[in-house]
Amino acid sequence: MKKTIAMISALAMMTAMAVPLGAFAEDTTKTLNKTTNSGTTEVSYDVASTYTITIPAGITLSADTDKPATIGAAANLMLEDGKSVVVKLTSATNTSSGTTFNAKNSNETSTATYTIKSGNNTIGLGESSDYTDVVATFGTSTATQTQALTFSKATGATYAGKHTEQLTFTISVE
Amino acid sequence: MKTRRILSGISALVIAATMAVPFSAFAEDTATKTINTDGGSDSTNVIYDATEKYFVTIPAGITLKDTAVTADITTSNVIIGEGKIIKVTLSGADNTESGNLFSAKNSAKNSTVSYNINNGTVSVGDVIAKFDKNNLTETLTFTKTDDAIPTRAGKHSENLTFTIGVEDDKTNVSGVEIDNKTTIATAITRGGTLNLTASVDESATDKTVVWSSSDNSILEVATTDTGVTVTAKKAGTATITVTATNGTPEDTSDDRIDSVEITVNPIMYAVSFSANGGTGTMDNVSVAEDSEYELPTNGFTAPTGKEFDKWQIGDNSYGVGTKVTITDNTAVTATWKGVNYAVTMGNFTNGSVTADSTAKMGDTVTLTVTPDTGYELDTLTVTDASNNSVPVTGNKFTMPNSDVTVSATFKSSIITVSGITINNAPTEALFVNSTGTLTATVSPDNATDKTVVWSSSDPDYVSINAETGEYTVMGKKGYGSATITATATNGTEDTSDDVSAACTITGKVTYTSLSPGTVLHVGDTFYAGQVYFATKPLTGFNDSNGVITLVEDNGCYKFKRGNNGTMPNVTAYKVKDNTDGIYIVSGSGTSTSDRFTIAVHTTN
Repeated sequence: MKKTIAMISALAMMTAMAVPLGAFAEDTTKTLNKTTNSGTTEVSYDVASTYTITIPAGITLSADTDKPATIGAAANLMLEDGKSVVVKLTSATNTSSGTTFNAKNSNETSTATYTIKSGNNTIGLGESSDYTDVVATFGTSTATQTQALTFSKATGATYAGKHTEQLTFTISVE
Repeated sequence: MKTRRILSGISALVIAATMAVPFSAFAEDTATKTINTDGGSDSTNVIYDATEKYFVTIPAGITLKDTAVTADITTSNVIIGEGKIIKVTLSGADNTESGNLFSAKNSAKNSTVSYNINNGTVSVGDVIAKFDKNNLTETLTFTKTDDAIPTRAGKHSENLTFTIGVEDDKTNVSGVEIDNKTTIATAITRGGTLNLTASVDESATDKTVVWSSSDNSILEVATTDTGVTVTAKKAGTATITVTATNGTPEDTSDDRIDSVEITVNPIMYAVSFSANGGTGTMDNVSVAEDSEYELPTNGFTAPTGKEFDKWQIGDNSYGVGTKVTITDNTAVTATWKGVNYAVTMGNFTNGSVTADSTAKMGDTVTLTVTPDTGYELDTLTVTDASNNSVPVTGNKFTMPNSDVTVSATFKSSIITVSGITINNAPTEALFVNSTGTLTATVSPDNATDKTVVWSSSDPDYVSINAETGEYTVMGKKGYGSATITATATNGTEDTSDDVSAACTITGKVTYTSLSPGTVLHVGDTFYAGQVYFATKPLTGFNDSNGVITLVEDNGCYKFKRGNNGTMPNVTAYKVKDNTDGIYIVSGSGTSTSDRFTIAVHTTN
C-alpha cells in the first residue's frame, strides 16, 4: 500500500532589501590655504544589496521514491563584492538535530522519517562535521540561480494519514 | 600664518659734504642719504609689505543620493594682491582621468556609480571657482546619473582633488573656434588662398589668437587684420591650427585650440591627343601637376597604310607606356609609320619569283622572275588582301595598303614545228647508185628545234642519212621505189608534236637485159636476172645479187654486186686509155649454160 505524507514549509518566499546606509565620511570640511593648496573631497554612494530567494512552500513525500525540490535566487542578485546569500535550514518542528527528519500525524502517534540532501551534501540540524545546515549559497549574478534539493522516501509510519513537519529556512549575507 | 610687518620710521638725516646718492626703494633700512650743508632735500621711503593670505574651504566628503546634493566651496580671510584672484581648480579625480562624467567605484574597482558636477559643466581640470574677496561661496551640485549601472552593492567612492592658487584676475578663453568651420572649403587648389577667422568667447580677457600650419610647405599662413590668409603652396594635406594663448604664448597650459584639416589639390592639367592624320578621337585626360602620366595605347585609327609609331610631345617622341611628368596642359600627337605589309609568294611550277618579303604602302616592289629552262613566264599577278588585283608593270608593282600575294605561271618556251616540206624531191627515177641530198623546209621559221629526221621505207632501194638527208639509190635487191620521210621532231622523243613530209625516190638501172652490142660503161647498172659471163673465172649474177654495177677498181673493170658490194675477181679487163667499158660481145639467155662473152670496149 502506498502512503503519501505531506509537509508544508513555513516560508514560502523570503525577500531581503539592503537599506542605504548613512554617509561613510563625515561631511565636514577641509581648509586650504597658501601653503596647503590642495585637498581631496570624497564623493561616495552606497549601493543597496538586492536579492530574492525562493523556497518551496510544500513538499509531498513519497514512500516509494525520492522527491526533488528547488531553492532559487531571482535574477539580478546584487551584493557587495565578495559577499554571498547563504540559505540555511535553521529549525524543524519535529526534529531538533541530526539528519533524520520526522513527519508526524496530528496525534503525534506515528512518525515517518526522511532525509534531505542539497546536491550531494547531507542536510542536518545542529553542528556536526558530518553534515551541514547550509542548503544553498548564491553570489552576485544577473542570471537566475537554483540549488536542487532531494527529499528521501519516507519510512516508518505506523498509522495512515497525513504526517507533517515544518522546516524553517533562514537567509543571511555572509 | 606667518605675518611679517615692516615698520619703518623716519631715517635719520645724515649730512654729508658730498652729492646725494640715488637710493633704492628696498634698500636696507640702515642705508642713509646725505643732504649737504648747501641745503636741499631728499626723500625716505616708508614701506609696508602686506603678506598675502587666504583660506578656501572645501567639503571633506559628499554622499551622493538618488537626488542631487550640493556642497559649498568658500573663502575667508582673503588678502591678495590687487588684480589677483584665488582660483580653485578641480585638478584630479581618482577614477576619472578626464571629462565631465565622474565615476565612484567600489573597493574592488569592479562596480561603478556615475555622477556629474553642475549638470556636467565641470570636467576634470576645470577651474570651478574664482574668488577675489572674502566670504564668497561657490556651490557645486553633485548628481548621480544612470550612465553606469553598479554591479555590486556597497560603498562606491572617488576622491576629488581641488587645487587653489592666486593668479592674475583675468578670464581665460574657454574655447576658440574657427568660424564657419563646417562650411569652409577643406580642399583648395594649389596656388589658391583661403581666408580664415576665429572667434573666442567675449568674456576672455585676452582674445589673442595665433595661427599656424602643420606644414608650411603645403599650407602657408599669413596673419591679416581679421584672421589669416592660408595659401596653398603644394599638393598635400596640412592642419591649420588657431591657438588662443590668453596673451601668454609661453604658457600653453591654458591655451585653447581649434584646427581644420585642409587638403591642397594639385592643379589639374589637360593632356590632349591629336590624331595627326589618323581618325577617331581620344578623350582628354586630366592629370595632376608634376605627376607622372603614363602615355596610353594609341586609340586613333591610323591613316591608310600607316601604323602607330610613337607619341610626340613637343620635339620629343615617346613610346607607349612612357611616363612623362606633366607640368602644363600638354598636347600629345600621334606619329605614324608605314606598315610593313607581307609579300607572299605563291607556289610556282617551272620557275620561281622572288621579291622583298615586306614592303610599305607605296613602295615599288620588284619581282625577280626566273623561269626554269625551257619555260618562260606566262602570267604574273599580284593580289591584295581583299583579292583585288594589283597592277604589275615590268615585273614591278606598287605596294597597296595590305599584304599581297604573288602568283605566276610559266609556260614552255619551245616553238614547235607546224609544217615541213621536202624541197627537192626527185621527179623521175634515178639510177641505182645515184646519190643526192634532200632538204626540207620546216615551219614556222622560228620553231625552236627544226631538226629533221630522214627515213626510208625501204633502205634496200633507197638509203638515206637520217640526219643529213643524203640518199643513195640502192640496188641490194634489185631496184625499186622507197618512200622517203622527213620528220621534224622538235628535238624530242615525243612524237605527238611531230610533223612530216614524204616523197618517193624510184631506182632504175641502165639495163634490164643484156644483149650483144651493149656497151657497159663504168657506172652502168643492170638487173637482168641470171647472167653469166664467159670470162675467167666464170662469173655469174642473178637477181639475188641485186643490181650489178660496172665499176673501175684498181685499173680493172669489175662488176660489183649490189647485195653485198663484192666484186668477182674479173681482172682480165684492164682499164686503159682507150677503153670506156665492157662490151657485150655475144650471148643471150639466162641459164647456166648461156654465156655472155664480154670484152673491153675500146674507143678507137
